[in-house]
Amino acid sequence: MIFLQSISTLFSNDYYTFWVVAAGAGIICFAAGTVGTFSYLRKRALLGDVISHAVLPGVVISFMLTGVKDSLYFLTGATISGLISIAIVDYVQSKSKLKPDTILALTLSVFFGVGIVLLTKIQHSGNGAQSGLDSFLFGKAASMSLHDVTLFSIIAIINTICIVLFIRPFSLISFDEEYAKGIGFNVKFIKYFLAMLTVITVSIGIQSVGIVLMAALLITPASGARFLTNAIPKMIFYAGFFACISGIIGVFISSTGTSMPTGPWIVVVLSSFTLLAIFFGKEKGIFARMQTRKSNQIKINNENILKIVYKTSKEGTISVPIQDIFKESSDKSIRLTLKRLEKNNIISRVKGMIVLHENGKIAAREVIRKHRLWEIYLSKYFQLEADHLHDDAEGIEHIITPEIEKHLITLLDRPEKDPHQSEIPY
Amino acid sequence: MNDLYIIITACLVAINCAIVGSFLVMRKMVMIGDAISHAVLPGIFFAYLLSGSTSSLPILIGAAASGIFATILIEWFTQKARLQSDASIGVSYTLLFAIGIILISKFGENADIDQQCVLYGELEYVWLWLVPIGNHFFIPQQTLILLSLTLIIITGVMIGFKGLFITTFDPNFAISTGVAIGFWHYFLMGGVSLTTVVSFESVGAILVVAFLSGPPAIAYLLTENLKKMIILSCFFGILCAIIGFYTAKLFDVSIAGAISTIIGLVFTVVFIISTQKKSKIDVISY
Amino acid sequence: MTDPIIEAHNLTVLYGRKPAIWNVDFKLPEKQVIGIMGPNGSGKSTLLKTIMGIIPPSTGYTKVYNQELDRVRDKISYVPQRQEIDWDFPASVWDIVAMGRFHKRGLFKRLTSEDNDIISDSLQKVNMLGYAKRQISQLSGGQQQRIFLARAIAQQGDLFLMDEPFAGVDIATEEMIIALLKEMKSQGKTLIIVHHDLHTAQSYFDHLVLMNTRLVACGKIADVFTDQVLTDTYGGKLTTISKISQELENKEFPIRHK
Repeated sequence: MIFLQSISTLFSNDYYTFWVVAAGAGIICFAAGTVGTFSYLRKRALLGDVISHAVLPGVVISFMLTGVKDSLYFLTGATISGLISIAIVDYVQSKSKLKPDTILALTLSVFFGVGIVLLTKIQHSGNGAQSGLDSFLFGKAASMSLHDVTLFSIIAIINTICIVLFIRPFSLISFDEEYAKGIGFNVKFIKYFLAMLTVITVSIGIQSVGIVLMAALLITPASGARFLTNAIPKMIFYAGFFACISGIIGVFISSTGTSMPTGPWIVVVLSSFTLLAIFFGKEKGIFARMQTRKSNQIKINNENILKIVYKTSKEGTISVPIQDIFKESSDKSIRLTLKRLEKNNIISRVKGMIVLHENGKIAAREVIRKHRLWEIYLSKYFQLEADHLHDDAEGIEHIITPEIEKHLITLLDRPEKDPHQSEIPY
Repeated sequence: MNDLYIIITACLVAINCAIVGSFLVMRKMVMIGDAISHAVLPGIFFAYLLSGSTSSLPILIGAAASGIFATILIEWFTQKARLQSDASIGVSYTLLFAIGIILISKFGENADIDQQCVLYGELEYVWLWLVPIGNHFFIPQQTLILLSLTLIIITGVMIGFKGLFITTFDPNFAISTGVAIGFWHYFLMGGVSLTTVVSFESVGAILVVAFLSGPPAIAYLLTENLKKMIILSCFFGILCAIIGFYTAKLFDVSIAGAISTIIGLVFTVVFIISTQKKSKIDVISY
Repeated sequence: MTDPIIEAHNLTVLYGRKPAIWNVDFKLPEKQVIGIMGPNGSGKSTLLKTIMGIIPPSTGYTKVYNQELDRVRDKISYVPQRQEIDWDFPASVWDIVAMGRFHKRGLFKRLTSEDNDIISDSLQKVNMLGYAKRQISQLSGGQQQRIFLARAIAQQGDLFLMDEPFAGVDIATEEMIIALLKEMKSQGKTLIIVHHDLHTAQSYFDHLVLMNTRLVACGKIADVFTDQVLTDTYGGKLTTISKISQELENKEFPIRHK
């Protein structure tokens, strides 16, 4: 109830500021989600973490130099120190035997340490205007002014437009840098441009979620979007969209309570979306995969029973006593499978006998055909003894698609008999 | 006396981190240490909530539990959800850290942990909780815990050196001779979890990461012997801790921040020297 | 064939969800120099790793000396692929070769003077004794290969499994390794070698396994080193195998029903 009330009050005029802040957070998060997709695709998730920690000294120094808290100065400072951190990571990696993860961790912690030193310096020097600088650590969306929001939104939108315009070269270097170089792209320029966009996005992103959790804003949306689609443009859109929604919800939740930090809430909401996608995503989601495996198992069980019925039935009758099936198969789910086949009108039970219908007969012959074709294929190409063929074919017979079957028949020249001299039913 | 307590505490953290960090650096797993050091936060909070005290044992257990939970979560993301490994690390630790921060903001006032101290620790106040040893001698509780951990880690590495060495250098060869590499993985990760957890309380997440990566990286540039590398990185850890402490005092800034900065400076110097030396060798050999 | 030293039975090994080795079945004879050959990505290294228990098979099994691997580890020396190692690792040549003794002595005991003698001898055999104190980061490719060989010799096995010992080494090293192989063979050792270079195959090996995910041929070199077999091995992956692998990967099918 309280929740509904607070939602309804949101739409009253008093909540003008809330909507300004929410819109700002939404747009910023959208930009981060889109750029972050490429951090994800290029497997640079942890570099995003480094950049977001590394902007702190820049932010503090810009304040020390100018003495004013202005978003544009912060942004400039942040961008510069973010770019320096990337340059350092690249340089140290090219000049030493240190491995990337060590360099990332070291750069991250040293930059952040420098930032903290400067921050505590200002705090202890008692500069009145400094209060609020440390809100960069965990985000300060709630205190964004209209001016800030306008500025960030413009930058975020320009950023997003750049991403959309450069979607092809960015996708290309994410997929295969060498290939991109080979077909004449200026890979170096594209890489630095992408890095630049990432740093700028981080610089505005820390205004809403803060430094420590900025990495999540880059990487978590893309990680979830990956489970919803295989197409990069769609992935970028989903990532941006979920980040945007999470930004707004996060601002909303933190506005309901006192001392509720915005950044962590945005991250929690965002992670929930990503977890949902991981479980329920139609591309490679955990449930989708379980579903496929289950339907595979059903197909396998069905085909196995049909095969047994067909094989054990005497010439011309196509019916088998149920007990015989239990004798033939060790499968525990026989009853279930039989019931299912009966329901689908493939077999029927008459007086303790299983009778195979015409379509069941066709299906059974198909499986047996695939099994025997595969045995021939194995014996021809795998240097296997005749008694080593069966097990493999038991598995593969269910996997062979009509297309592969056709291919096998042509390849093997429509054989008549399998290696055990059994007829192949066409 | 208080200064001495702070320095000793910082040095103990430096030693612990340098030892396990050396192996993390060689196994290319430093960022996992980073993730664990952030992810222990919710555990610390729940332990406080359940035990109702800020005494160290429950907090330690809680933190260790969430450190282990973080490694399991990362593994779940890569194995079951089939997310790429860098993203798994990124997603899991930010989530756990975010949850920790929310809990602390909501209930933290009476738990005397706040958002900042999570990041850069409360080394400054380590002398506030003293425990007596004998009649006249007092030692901060944190320092005592760290000291016992240092002893555990040194013993563990001395006993397990060969196992850690062979599984780090050439895991496939190790398996081929029947070494259980899974055991050695968890042996090390157990050490990492304990170290980050215990150190986190006194120096905060950022300095833990700096200590785990910095001194071993410096030592790695200077030596080509694993044992020497471990000893050297302990040395540089201690050096940076002491210089960092006095720098912080001199400029009146955060100790954890100052130590990280000094680590960065020392690394820069060593890095420049080592690249100079390398290019000289190149000149000779051509 | 008298007692096979290695037997693979209906061996299938998945890499991810795709088969890297598919239904391979063979027996290898004792006291021979045996080559394992095939194009890149044909499962050669995977085969050695499966034999050594590094990658578990998804179906089938391998046996060494007709026994479970764990019972006969003492008799096997293994040389992993040199390229899979980080040679910037802070260790000396001696440290690496000493690993060959860890198993005999146990991980928690000190090496004895007997071990040290064995390590010296092994280094001597590959002409690297003078380099014992050298850092491994300073070694050339050929020298790296030699100390890996020395480590395997220090294991004192009767059966040597070597993963591409000739890849990227200088001619002197290659000749040295060949001489060493001949010597070891004359001492009754069995040597199984993953190899790349077709030109040298005939002079190096007595016996050959040719594979490309599936087994193409296995037998005495004179019998299997034929144009037909080589075309089959190196003529590209079979379309059928690629297609079914694709199905296995995309549709999450189990490779065996159960």
